[in-house]
Amino acid sequence: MKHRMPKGVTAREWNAPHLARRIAVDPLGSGVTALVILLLGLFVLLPVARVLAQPGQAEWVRLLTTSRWLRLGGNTLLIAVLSTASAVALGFLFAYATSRPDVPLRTLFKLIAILPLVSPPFVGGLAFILLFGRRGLVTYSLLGLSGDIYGWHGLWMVQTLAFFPIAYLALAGVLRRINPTLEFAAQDLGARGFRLFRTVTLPLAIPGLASAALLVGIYALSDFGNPMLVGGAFKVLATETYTQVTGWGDLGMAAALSGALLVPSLALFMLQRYWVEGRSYVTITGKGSFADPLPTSGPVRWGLFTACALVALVLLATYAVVFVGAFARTWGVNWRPTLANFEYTVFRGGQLWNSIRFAAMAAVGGSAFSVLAAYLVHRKRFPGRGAVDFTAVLPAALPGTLIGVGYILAFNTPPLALTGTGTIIVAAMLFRTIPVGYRAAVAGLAQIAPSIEEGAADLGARPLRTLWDVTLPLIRSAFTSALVFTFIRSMNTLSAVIFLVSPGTVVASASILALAEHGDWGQASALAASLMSAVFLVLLGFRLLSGGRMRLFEL
Amino acid sequence: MLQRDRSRRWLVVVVGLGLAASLWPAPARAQTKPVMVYGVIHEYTLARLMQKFERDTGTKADFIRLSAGEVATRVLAERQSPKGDVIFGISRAIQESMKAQGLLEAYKSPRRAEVPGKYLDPDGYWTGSSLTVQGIAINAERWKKEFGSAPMPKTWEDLLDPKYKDLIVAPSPLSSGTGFTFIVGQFFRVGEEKGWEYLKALDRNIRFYTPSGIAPTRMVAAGEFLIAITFAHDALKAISAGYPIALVHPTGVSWDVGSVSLIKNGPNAAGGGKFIDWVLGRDPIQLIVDLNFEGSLRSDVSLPLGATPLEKLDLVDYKLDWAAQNRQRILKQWGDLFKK
Repeated sequence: MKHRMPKGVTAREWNAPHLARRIAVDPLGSGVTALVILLLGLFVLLPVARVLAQPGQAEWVRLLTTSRWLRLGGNTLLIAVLSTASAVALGFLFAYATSRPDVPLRTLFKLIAILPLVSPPFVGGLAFILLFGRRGLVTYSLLGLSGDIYGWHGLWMVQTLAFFPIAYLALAGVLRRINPTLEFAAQDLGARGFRLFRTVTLPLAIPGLASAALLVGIYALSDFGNPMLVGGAFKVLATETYTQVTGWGDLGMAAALSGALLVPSLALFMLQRYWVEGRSYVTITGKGSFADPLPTSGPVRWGLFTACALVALVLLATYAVVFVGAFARTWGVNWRPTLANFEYTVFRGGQLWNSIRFAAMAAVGGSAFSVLAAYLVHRKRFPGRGAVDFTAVLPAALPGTLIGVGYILAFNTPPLALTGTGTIIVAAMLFRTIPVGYRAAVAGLAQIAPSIEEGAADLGARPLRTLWDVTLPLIRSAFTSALVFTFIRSMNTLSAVIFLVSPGTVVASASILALAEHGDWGQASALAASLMSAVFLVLLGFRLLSGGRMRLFEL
Repeated sequence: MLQRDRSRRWLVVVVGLGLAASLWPAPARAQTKPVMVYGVIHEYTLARLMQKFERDTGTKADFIRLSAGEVATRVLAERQSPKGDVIFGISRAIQESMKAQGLLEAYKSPRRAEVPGKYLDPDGYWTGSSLTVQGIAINAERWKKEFGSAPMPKTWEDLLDPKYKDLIVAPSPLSSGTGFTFIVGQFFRVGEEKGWEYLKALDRNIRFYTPSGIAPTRMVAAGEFLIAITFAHDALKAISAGYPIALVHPTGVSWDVGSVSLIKNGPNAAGGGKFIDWVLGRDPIQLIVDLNFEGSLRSDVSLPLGATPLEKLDLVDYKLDWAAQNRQRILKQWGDLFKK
């Protein structure tokens, strides 16, 4: 990018040292950048620092000398690798299938692919056990099997289903952005079938695949709900962190364990960073094409359809059980219908409204913030860019428990006395999910040639106008996916907010856990079903309000 | 051009909605400062209890339901500026650890005279409110299918029979008070050395240890496993919900006391004291017994539905001081010995 001296800038300002010159040229941009840095520092780094300062030397020593935790560390890495690989593969399958115009029922598959994200914690896992467990409705009653799903294999299956939507969201936008003319051109040059896929489509999807793997990997590393439910004797570090706090209130040890969990997360981050960067994936070059993607051949089409349909069936059954359970008298024993389970949900109706309100605020604020941060980091030059990039994806590597405890420690006293308010819950929801929007925006930006923006600048557009008129429309899909993802995830987030709720700000997911933990599966699933319905209703409302133009499910 | 207009209008809609949501008035707060209770018993029971407190005394009480460790963590993290007044229903072991960290305020309620002396902290930091005993929960339906009319296990030693291999689930003491109460109960029953031998023998039949105390009963209720180590009230609750569970109390059974305490420098200490005086009375305790199936420490409160009377149980001599002093050592030893 050439630096021309803009109008209104004196020669003296232009020749000032680097940073001062930037501020003089673009005061608004510099202000926004400073604000982004300040917010990330306050709501991401400060709580982490407060938690990591908590354990003493004794706890770090205990961590490294206890054979149990070393073994658990091995388990954690193993399952994270397995689940990431399968979830990304499945996510890619769904994203690829739904990006092709001729795969039957693709709109339905798009909808079903986000179902696991809408599922509240614990209930989805239990539904899975009720369906496929030792006495599961499908495995035992239907097929007469009495297999044992508790262990690494059950966990692998549950995590794959739970996390593939994250990969799907990261990949769908990227695949849709691949210019179809490239595939047509390759076909004209003789590449067909798998060769075309391997040499053209797959390489173009690599930034998406890498960011999907990063996100899923970190989610798998810090997942505690699923290992708790179906891990059985196969224990992982995240569960141990959570139970150190919930069981004996050992904050120091929990903090040390989350510190240990940070190591592989950071390694993943570095890998992604150096593997993907240094390659060019620009496919939008301003020479637009609106051709439909390449149609698929018959066997491929039906293969994709069968695979998607199978997964969709499993997911539908899982969530059907939640809805059936909400109306059942005694979950698992007496399936006669009743409305009694909803009495409590209505009785404490405030929780559901709190969830919707807080999640909506977090979604709007979070997606705007993450897209803005991605834009600043990848299109502007300022000192500490790498650190901001790092901080924006760091929350995904942090166990929710650590965030929750860190927020109490950091925001309990003035000048930032936020505990007990709704603001702290919104902040926790928002900053926990920014990595998703941020990564999606980065992947989107990586495919947009800077020459388009430079063109706008050459035509006289100020930076803000370029952002608004050129860049933003082009990364709209990243913004949408961030919005939808943050809203859905915040509606169901639990491990962080459970430390932050107060009377008047209790959210539905906290109540669901409390009910589920005591085995009140009927009430828990009634509230869960209400929560899931609320998510769908709000999304539908958004879609209707935007005149059907907001593409919620075509991410 | 079309693309630009679309995305703009759409942005305006979204931001407008977000603003509307954030400007929506928060639920109005009560005029007088409510009492803030951190409770570990069932959420619904707590809600009913707060309703009753407000009706009986005219003072409003709010609550949050948390697990025992979450209460300890939260109170510790909030120590500079506490947000809660009362901790309710929590195990004595956690109370002792919070007391040692200086997080509690001594409060000698006049009601303490009505609670037997061994269920009180002599320094006044906590007062017992309920008595919970342990037992073995068995899925009766599965038992009938797999073992027919054979007698169910009656003693702790019966559980060592190899035919129960992989059919038993137990809570892990590393993360659950139920699990810790169980293993020290074995030490109090047969002595520590023989207690470890017993636990090692039992481990051969255990499929795995669960992080939470209630999970084994839930899994047995659903028929996933046959036998669970449990607290009686968890099993009684599952039975009253209609699950086919048989509850067995072997001789030498472990027990614990749920207790109430005042948080140091809480925002409403006077209201907190008022709540403690009230909740130790007959009617609130009866409500807890009826809804939560925990045993009471009061003689004027009836038994939970389906519970075995205390005089028919053989409880171990639980030495609280010994358990508190040796907890870290026992947990480390357990963690090194058992891998499930």
